[in-house]
Amino acid sequence: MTLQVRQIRKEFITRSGSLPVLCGIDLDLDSDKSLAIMGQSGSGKSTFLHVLGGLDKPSSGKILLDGLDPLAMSETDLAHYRNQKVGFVFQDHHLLPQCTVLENVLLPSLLGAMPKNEVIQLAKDLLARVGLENRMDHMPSELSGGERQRAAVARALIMRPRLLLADEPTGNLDKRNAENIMRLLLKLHEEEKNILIVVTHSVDLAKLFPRVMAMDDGILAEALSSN
Amino acid sequence: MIDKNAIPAIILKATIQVRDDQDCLVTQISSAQVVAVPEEFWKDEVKSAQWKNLKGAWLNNQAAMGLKISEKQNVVLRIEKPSAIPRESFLGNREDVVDSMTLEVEKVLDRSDKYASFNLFPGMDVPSTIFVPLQLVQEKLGVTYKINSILSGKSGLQDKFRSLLTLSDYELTFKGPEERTLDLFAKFDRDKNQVLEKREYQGKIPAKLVPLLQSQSGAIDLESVRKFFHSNRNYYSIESSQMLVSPNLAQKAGNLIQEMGLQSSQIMVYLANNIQEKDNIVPYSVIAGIDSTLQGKLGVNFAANERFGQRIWFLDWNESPLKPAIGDTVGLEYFLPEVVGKPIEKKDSFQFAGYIPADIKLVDPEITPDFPGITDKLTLDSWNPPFPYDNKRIKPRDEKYWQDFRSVPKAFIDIDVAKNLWGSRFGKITSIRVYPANAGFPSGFAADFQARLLNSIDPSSVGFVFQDLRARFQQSSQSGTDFSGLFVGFSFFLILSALILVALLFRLHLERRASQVGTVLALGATQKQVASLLLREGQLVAGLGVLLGLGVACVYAIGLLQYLKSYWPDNSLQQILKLHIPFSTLCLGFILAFLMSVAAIFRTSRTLVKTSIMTLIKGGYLDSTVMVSKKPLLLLINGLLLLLLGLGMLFLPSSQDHELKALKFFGAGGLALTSGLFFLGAFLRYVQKIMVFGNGLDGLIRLSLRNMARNKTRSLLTAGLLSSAAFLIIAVEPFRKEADVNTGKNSGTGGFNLVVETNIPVLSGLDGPSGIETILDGVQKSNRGNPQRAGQQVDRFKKVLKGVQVYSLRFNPGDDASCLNLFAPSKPRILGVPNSLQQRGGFLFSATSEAKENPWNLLDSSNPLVNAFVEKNTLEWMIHSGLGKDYKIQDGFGKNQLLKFAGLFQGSIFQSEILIGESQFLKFFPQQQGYQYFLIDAVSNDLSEIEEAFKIGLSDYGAKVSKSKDLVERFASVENAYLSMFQGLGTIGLLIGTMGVAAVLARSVWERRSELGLLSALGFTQGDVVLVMLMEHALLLFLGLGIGTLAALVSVLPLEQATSTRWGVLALLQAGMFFFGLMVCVASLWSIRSDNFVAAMRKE
Amino acid sequence: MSFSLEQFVVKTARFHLKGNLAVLMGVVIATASLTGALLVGD
Repeated sequence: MTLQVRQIRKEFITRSGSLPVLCGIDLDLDSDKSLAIMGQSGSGKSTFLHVLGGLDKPSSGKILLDGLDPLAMSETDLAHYRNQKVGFVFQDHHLLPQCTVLENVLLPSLLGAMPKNEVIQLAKDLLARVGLENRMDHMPSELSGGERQRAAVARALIMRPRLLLADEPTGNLDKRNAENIMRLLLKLHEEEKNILIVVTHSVDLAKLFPRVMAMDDGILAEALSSN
Repeated sequence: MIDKNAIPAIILKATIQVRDDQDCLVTQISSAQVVAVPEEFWKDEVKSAQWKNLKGAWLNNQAAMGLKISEKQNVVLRIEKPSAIPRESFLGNREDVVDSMTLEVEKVLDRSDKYASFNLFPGMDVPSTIFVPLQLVQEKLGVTYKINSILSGKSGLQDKFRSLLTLSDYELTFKGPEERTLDLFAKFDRDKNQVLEKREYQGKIPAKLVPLLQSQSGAIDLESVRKFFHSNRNYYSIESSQMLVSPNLAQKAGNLIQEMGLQSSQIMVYLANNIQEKDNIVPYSVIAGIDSTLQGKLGVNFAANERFGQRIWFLDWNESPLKPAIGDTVGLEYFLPEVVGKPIEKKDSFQFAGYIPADIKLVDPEITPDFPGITDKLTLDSWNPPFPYDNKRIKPRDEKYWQDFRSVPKAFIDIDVAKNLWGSRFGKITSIRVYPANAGFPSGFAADFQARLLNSIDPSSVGFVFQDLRARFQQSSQSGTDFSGLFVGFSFFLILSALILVALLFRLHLERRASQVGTVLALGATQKQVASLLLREGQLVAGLGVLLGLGVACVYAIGLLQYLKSYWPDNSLQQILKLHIPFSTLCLGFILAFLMSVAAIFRTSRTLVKTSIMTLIKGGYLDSTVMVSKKPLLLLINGLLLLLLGLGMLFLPSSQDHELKALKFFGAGGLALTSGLFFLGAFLRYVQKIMVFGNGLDGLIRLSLRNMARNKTRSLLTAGLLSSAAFLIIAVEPFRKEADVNTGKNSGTGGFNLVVETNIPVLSGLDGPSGIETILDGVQKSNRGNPQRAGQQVDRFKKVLKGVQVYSLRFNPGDDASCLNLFAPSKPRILGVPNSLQQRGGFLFSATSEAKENPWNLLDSSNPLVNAFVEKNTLEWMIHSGLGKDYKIQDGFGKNQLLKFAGLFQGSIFQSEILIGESQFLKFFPQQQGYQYFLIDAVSNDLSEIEEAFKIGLSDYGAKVSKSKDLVERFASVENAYLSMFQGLGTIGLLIGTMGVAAVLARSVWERRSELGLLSALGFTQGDVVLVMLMEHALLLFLGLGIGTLAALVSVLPLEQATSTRWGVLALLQAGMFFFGLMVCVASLWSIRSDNFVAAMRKE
Repeated sequence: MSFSLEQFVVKTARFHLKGNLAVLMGVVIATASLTGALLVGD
């Protein structure tokens, strides 16, 4: 299982002309591999992640995940791709406030079609693994910031995606929680054997990853260890 | 018997009066109905039992309230006396027109009692009714065993009814020798011994006839009379109790006689006041016009000696002073057969052509029909005729003639001449005789003939017709004022506004949840799925909303009706307008509202889910890709096209069809409105590009415009809401009628101050000095118990009535055709316009079929159709027709006649009726006699005095006096009531619109709190910030209202109302709406003035 | 425990009550105008 990215470009069209954000990104990752991407704000790293996750379309380029090309898919197929192949963790947890923690985790499964009892059990397991077994029936408003993000992580994994993406998942958390979340992500990545790509602006957190790359002005390059 | 459940009745229009102890008038109701019924009428046992021995009357609630009386008080009923002989014929009784009955009110029927609203004619008001026992009325009017109505719950009785009618029901008698024999004895044989003794017949049977009737013994017994009549008077005679046989019946009888192979003979008998030959005069003589058949029987032939002109034959009676030679001129003086006012004498000359022997065997007295007051009098001297009669002119020789011959005619002329001179609209002959063929009458002839004659007469031609009341009421109520089309049209805009509001609110709501929607999409939901989820949520809300809305709708409908009732000029609406809530309508409303709301929600949802996921997650607002992504040029072109289309609609051929007119109006307006929104859309697109710079107001306006352009769809929706509201309010205003202050001759009132209608016809009209006399007479009679007061009033009124001019019009009753009557007029009232009014002219015409100096002259024409005038509004809205179109009415014989609308009044007093020329009126309705509608032209200072004079003076005729100005205003105010209702709708629309603006404003502020915080941080004061927000929305208000107003003007411009528009009022309305909207914005902003924007910014 | 899309819809509707009430009000007004017009016109 591999992820192949070829010459991804993206431009934003504004009133004063076009603004290039991604300028030809290439990447290869095998499964079981994890990657941290660093860069300054506005460098395009979030945009790249969105493209990988099927949340945004590039101007040109190709992506292949296990032989699937999301860029060539119809809107419906792309939705399935997002649902089943990708798990996304946002900076703001984006949990739905009207559902309980368990229901939030189950939400992706409603949209896809998975046998019910099986998935409920899986959800409960996941929540246990992220340490929220006692908070299953609570509403997001009753959780702390760190707990919410952990719930978001559980949600991202409920469909056992091949690609787990996290866009500054610790941006709103304090140092201790941040480190916990990162470690959690890595641990679950190892257990699930998926591809994990995390965007972060923290050097300390990036150091936790075996491979680090840097995005600068739309170009992705291997980070030099001294940075 | 027609049907065992059928109820005989007498139903009449009457005046009910309350008089005081001195027999002076206290109050009266002039158009009440008398319902005289037997006890079987009441299906209620209690009532039925009470009715049995009743000697008084029962009133309904309406009557009791109108008279301000209660039980145990007395009322006086004034009814027109029935008269067989038409009052306008010279033999008609013109004096004794009104009959009165004093009755005690034994009971008042409460409003809830179903009998209290007994009514045979669809109309707005419950009539004031007095219930009287049938027998009492029959006795009083002298019509025992006669009725004028049959009430039945069954249908299909017309045939049975027809089969039960006899000739006497048609006022006809059919008598042969046997009947005449029996009649004679019935009249004179007082001791019923079948012998007429001298004391019994002396002076009553012509002396010359007596010897011929005597038997051998010298007595006049049944057998001898019978023998005489069968031998010498072997004919049947058809006569009418109305004196004249109507032309219709005469023709039917004539045809039948011919069919049966018999001989018929027509006779026209008349009375000459004088027969003069040189200086010799014979007064008050019967003259007969006879045809060749009778001539033959008398042994003469009038056709011989053609060279003499109008010829006359005398009966050769001994004592006659007239001894002309053949060819001598003979003068005849007689009254004209039709009388209006006073009988008019006419003189005619004839040539004497010969004598007819005075053989009473041949020339029989039965040529002359019976006439009480003349033919039943013993002497000439004691005659009591209804025309002016001077018995001092009677000489002994005249009395001798009367003794010898009685009613045998003294002179004879040809029947055709007689018909020409003495025929009238009531008829041209007095009797038809049937003579047998050679062998005499076949057995059973009488019965056979009568049956066949009856068969050939259609009862409906004399008004004997069963009317299906239920059908009539239903039809009337259905096709009445149909403004539902208009109402739906106006409501359409309102409904559109409400739907736009739904879309707007939903949109605002969704925008708040944008990030959630984005999240769900990110988690792998398809756009369809998310849209479906949103839709389901929307359906839930819509379903609940619609259910609640149905409840509110009922309250709204009730409220609207109440509003209309309060604006209606009188109370008639209160009683009859009740809300009817059919289940089917509620279902329809449910379905439509649900579908439309869901559609609005669906549309918005779809747009939302098509936005890019990241934009949604970041909480970005919608920016519709549908309309505004198009280039401004495209929008402009679209807008222009729509505008042209809208303007094009205005140039469609105008029609009278209301649906079409409404379509044009709303279509043009709607298109103009939409095009305006397109223009706005293009403008916003353009505005997006402008730079924000500059100082002060200019800069602020630019900023506002840019802000407005930021969320185009939201701005357009809001503008759409406002423009709809503005359209509703502005479009209606030009239609408002202001009562025409002009009251001159060429205005709606025609220069007349008062209009008087009476129940009972005033036979000679009220024109001229004799009219004033009639009124003063009436004043006298009204105060008959108090001569002093009578004298005072007469003096008072004499002075004010001096300069008064009255025009009397003929009147045929029918349904009120004005817009005050919500029921459709199936048989409208008809007025006959006299020449005097035609010549006077006046009134305001909006259009006539031909241009004439005096448009009233159009009434003269009847070629090929009879011309008629009608009020424009009545024609359009109640009769649903137009100028130059035909209209069918039923004449007095039930026959259909066609009228053509040749002139339209504008804002006149004639909103309830149709006008035709008087001569035409009399052709259609010959039985309508006298005048019941009067126009009064008086000096306005004494108007209230004059009003009172007419009210009191004509109280016995049941007069209703109205000021013409009031009438015109009343009609105008009905239109205004409808308009006020429409404007009420507009106001609701405006409220909806401003709600939308407020919602948008609140949302804007919340969304842009960080932006506003930035402005604060940059040095804008709180006041400046508020001003910016206000300016932006004020601009939106201005543009939205402006588009709506312009669209309204587009709709109104081609209509004639455009010129009379009160522009000042419109400007005021505009300013009002703008100000209102602004206030709402300020109120909305006021609540957030203390919010800390900077903190919000920091959070971002 | 059960969690279906229907339940989700209901929860969401309830959560956004205020906004939904606003929309409800709009629908009530629309229905009232429409049905009211039909009733009165009748």
